[in-house]
Amino acid sequence: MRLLHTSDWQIGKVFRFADDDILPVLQQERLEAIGRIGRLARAQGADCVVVAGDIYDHLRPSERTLRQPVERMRQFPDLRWHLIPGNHDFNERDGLWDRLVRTGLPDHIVPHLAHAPVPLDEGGTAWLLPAGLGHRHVIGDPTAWMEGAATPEGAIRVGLAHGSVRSFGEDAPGHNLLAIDRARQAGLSYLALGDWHGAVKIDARTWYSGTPEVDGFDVGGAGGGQALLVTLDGPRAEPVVELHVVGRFRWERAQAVLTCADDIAALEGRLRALDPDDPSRVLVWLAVSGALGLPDLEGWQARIVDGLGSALRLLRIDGAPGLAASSDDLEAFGPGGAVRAAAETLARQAGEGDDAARAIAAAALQRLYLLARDGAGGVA
Amino acid sequence: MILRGLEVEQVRRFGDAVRLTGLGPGINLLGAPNEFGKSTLLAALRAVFLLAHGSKAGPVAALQPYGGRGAPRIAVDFTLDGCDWRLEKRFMQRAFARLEGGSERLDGDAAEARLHDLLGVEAGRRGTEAMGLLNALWVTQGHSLVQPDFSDPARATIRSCLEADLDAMTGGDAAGRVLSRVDADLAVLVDKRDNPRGRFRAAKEGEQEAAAELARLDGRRQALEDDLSAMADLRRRLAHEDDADRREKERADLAEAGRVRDRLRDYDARYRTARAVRDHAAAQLVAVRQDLAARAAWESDLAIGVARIAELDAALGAAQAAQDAAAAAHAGRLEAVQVADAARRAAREALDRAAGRVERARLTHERREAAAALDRLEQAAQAVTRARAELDACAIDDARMGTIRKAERALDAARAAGRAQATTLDVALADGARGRLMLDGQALEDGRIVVTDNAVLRIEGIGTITIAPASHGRDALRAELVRAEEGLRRALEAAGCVDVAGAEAALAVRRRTELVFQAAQTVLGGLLAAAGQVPATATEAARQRLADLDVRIARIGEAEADGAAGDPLELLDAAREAMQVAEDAYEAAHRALLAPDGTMRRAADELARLRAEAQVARDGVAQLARDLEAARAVEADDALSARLAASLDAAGMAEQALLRIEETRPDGTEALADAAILRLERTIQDGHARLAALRQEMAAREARIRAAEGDGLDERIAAQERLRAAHAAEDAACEREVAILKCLRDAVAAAERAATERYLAPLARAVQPALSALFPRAVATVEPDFSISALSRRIDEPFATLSDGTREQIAVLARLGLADLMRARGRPAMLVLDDALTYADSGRLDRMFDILTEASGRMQILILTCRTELFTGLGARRLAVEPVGGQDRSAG
Repeated sequence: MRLLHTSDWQIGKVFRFADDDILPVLQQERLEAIGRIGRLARAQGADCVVVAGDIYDHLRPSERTLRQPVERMRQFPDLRWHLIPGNHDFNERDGLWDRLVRTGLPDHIVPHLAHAPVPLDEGGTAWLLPAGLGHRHVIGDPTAWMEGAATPEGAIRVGLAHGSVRSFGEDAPGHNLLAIDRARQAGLSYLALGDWHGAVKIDARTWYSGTPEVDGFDVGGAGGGQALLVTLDGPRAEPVVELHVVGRFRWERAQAVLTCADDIAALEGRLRALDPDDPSRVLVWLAVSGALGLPDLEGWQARIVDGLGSALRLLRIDGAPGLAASSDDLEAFGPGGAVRAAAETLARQAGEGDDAARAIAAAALQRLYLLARDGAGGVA
Repeated sequence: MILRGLEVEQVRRFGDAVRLTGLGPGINLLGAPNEFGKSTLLAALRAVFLLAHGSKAGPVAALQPYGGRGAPRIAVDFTLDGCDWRLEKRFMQRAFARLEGGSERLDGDAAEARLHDLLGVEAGRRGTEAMGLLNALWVTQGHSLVQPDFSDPARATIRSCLEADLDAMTGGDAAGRVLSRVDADLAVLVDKRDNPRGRFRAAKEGEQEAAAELARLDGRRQALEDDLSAMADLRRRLAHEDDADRREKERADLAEAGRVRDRLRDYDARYRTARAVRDHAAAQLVAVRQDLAARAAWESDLAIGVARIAELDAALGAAQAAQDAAAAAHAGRLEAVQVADAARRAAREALDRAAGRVERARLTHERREAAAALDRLEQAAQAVTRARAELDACAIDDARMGTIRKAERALDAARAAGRAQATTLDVALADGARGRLMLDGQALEDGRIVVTDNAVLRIEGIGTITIAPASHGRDALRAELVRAEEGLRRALEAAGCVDVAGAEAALAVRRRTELVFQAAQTVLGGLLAAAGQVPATATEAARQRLADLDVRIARIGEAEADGAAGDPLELLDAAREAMQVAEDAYEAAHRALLAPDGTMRRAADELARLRAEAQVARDGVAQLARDLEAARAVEADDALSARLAASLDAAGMAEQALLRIEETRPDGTEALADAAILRLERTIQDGHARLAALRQEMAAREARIRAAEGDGLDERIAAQERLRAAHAAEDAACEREVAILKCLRDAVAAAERAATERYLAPLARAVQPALSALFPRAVATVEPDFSISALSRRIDEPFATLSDGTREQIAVLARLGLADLMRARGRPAMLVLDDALTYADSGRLDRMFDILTEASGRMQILILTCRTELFTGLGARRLAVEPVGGQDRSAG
């Protein structure tokens, strides 16, 4: 049998760094990903889609947010959608899943709220062992029950769970911690996991699908934006897993040290090359350092901040190139007079004191440069 | 620049051409009265240098002669940079301009352009004055008090003057533009008080609003979580309440409690029965014992009763004897009383008799007294009657006596009158002549004789002498005398008297009789006084009393017919003593009679008591005997003993039976069992109610939860957090922008200030010497607009607060400084002061003269004043206005 493994849709996610223009686009694209998953499953002849938790980002989404993914799935009545609660949308009593059930789900959308095997097909050749979360943090392994879960002899056992297979230090104690060899211990043909946002293969039978639409600059694994097409030829057969891209946006982190105009040009080229066809599919978080002269700072502003900032879907910049005002730069303010004196004062301030004060002084000098140039055409 | 001559024609008051003469280097003074035209000359000076000849605008039109149209013509001769120039302009009709100097001769606009070039001014707009520093230096009347207000070209001129001194002085304007741009940008973000505005303010407010909304949403989420937690709790409680096993157990417990109570009730019934049986047997036993005891008591009482009767009988005998003795004593005492009573009656009679005798004696004495009184009354009445009769017999009384005396006095008067008219004869008889002299027959004696009527004197031996007195009215006197004599006679007759002496005697008798009458009346009145009666009534009353006394005496006399002899009073006292003795005896006997009464009564009471007691004892004994007999008849003593034995057996058996039942007593009490049942029933009942309440509360909570979840709380919170972060970022960006702009502004402003201070220094230096001369140790604060804003002596004094004089002096010094500055830079400089320094005191004025004198070595100064006397100490050139062409119109 064939199934499509996905997880961590996190519908309704709010991106704090995004402005009012970008946020709806990012949110909308997460919904669009469902359609792409459905179409992929249909195209690949998958019987069903298993969603390994975190369908929603919030435990209490708005009614519209609650219904939107359902409506997307409704468009694929030929597929059965198996859903389990994750840590973001855990099955709280009187909570999200009760609401969802109350909305009247169509038959092909199946939330699995209990830890009990259910047949995946009418013939009962494949069984799903769902291990959704009942709390945000579950003490103990939510998949432990799978070992003792009885399924008909010879049936394909597919585990569906949400959690981490290892602890990430002391800050994240063993909540929702899954046994890394659960598939082997519980005799699973395949264990479909959710939680990690990048697609990761744990072992031959254990995979994280990752989120279908990347939602952050720091995602593990392959980085997300994919769904897994899993082919199970029998209970003993090793599953065949194919990664398919279903995401639209590309999220990149970049760093640059700028000291001259060439550096600026190189950075621009590098970022534009991320998606030369459609830079609007790219979100970049740029960490920049270095120092530039006054004309180069103007170039930085024009080519990177304003230019690339408009081309890319999002350009988030940490830091700014410092000011390295040369004597030549100061000459641009003329040989003397109050403006030149002010520029010298600011240049001096930009080189001393705390970082914040220096940055302000540098920015002021840059501004003075622009103003003096604009205001008195002869300067510079 | 040195002005050497000025001609005007057709300018305001100057119709014909006049020329200002006497101009030269140094100080030039035109002193002239008001209305002379000094200001007109200054206006002409400004016009020829600064107004375009072709203009017909207001300033030019204002130059035209008063009351008429004309073409003002002004010519001026001046030396500039060592070259002599003549400038002439006519305005309005046939306007022209001509500038001649050195080898140049220029007309019209070329002349104007050259002039501007020479003066360093710029053409003004549409008919206004050309603009430059000269405007500021040529002060018109009334403007000397204010500091020069520079036009842009003037400022540029000053600045160029100043900057020529500083090689690097460029960018001043650029700094100003930057500053204004920065200020404009800053004004978008913060207001004048540095409060955020625009998007900066919106960001701050947005952040606050978002934070508030977030707090509200967090509150709602907390409420939702509380609801969810409460809901979970409610479910647990519901499951607990709804637990079938628990409810079954509750029902079983209730049934068991019912059974426990039934057992307790059964036991209680049996116990009660056994206890009743035991109580009955015990009661039977008690009854038998009571019967036995009663019978023994009866027998005992019977014996006691018989003994008692015997005792009583003995006592009764003694009591009877005592009573008899008491009765005998009483009879004796009664007899004694009777004897004493008889004696007392006899004594009473004797006493009565003695008293009767004493009364009779008293009445007899009283009768005597009464008889005497009657006698006295009668005699007094008779005396009164007698005296009244004698009084009535007296004819004379005081009235009649008065009449008699009056008649006598009338007669005497008549007689005296007659004698007064009579002839008097004084007779002196010689010895032996006695009797020899005879008048009317009577011998005369020595002495005076009155002859009232014709008389015949006979003298013995001599003859007779008839005397006829020559009396006037002798007849009337005689008639009067007769009437008097008749009156007296009638009065006497009425009194029954013959003469006056008799009348006097009769009156004395009457007086005595009246005294007797009054005495008798007094006696009678004394007797009657007490009674207030008339004599007759009093007499009658006295007689009646006498009769009464006689009757009473007669009565006593009858009673005392056998009266004993002796003194009645003594007898009476004896009778009284006998009476007292008899009374005492009687009292004693009577007391004796009463005294023994207690003893007798006690004896009677005792007897009665004993009799009653004996009767009761006898009745009791009889009753006891009857009861005992009856009881024995019903139940013989043997039968009673048998019944006692049977009752003892029955009581023992009943007690045993009760003990056996008590041993079967179940645990607990019925009350406890009831309480347990009540509790269990209530538990079951409350369970239903709790279940209903839980379901109700759950429904309410669920509704709230659904409402909150439908709102998408978490999503809204995330959105709000994003909004807050966005506002915070915007706020930070604005903060940064403001910081950048302020940093820039501060830097540029500081630089500009430093530059300004640098290039203002020459101006300050130029002003300072004169300033120091006028205000020792004072320093002027020069502003970037070249005005002097304050004077620092000991403290800063803002210009506006200085006195008029000081302000005017500073304004003049500022102009002097500017002129110096221009002159030093090779620019045309010349100072005109119109009516200036009028506020200066003499000390200041002298110093100002010194300063002006000193400055006049470097530049020409023209002073126009109407107070020539003030400026006499200046040593100035005196100017005059003279008609051109020989007419003498000068002033001076």
